[in-house]
Amino acid sequence: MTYLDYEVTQLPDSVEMIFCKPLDENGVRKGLDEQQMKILITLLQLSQDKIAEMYADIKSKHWLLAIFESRLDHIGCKIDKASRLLLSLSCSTPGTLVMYTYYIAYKMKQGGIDELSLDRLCEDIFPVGFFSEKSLQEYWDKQKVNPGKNPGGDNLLDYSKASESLLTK
Amino acid sequence: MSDNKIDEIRTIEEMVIKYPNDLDLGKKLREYFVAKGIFKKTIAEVKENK
Repeated sequence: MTYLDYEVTQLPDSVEMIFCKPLDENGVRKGLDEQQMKILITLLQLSQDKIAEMYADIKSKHWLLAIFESRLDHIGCKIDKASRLLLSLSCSTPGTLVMYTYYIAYKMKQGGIDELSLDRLCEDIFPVGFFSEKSLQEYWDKQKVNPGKNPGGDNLLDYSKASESLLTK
Repeated sequence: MSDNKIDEIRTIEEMVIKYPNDLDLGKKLREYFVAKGIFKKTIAEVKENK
């Protein structure tokens, strides 16, 4: 695996240019599986109140959903609860969740979208489905940084400075 | 699950270390939807509305 130089963590558009743009251009998408499709239809039909109730219930039980929310807030990315639930279905690791967070922020910036609804998530961001596991793994490896003796870890996506160009607030 | 505050989580690595049993959110959400019988309820509601 090739590691990025630590210096890229200090550039404000590294996440956008090194991770989001290539993933958008070359990432392989796949259609929703049967269960995801059923859940999507369910989410489209439920009232906002019921979705909010369900969301709060799930969030109280699963920390990753709360962490997803925290990351979205951190970069000022506003997406509705139904969208968060649908996206989370495709997240098998915390890394996947974080990759989707930045990718969505990138697409929202590109499309001039201030607040993302489930309709727009499906129509504008993922019209042909979410990324394949293989693609996600490939781009996960590509965002790895060699931190050397610097603190901060080996994931470009964890460096606040590197995602400043995606901030909306 | 841990009772640590969310704000304490800063990096992906920390998430993995702190929540080793709560990682596959997608799988857990699918189980949640199935367990709650959400699909059946929705179908019933659609029929009711017709």
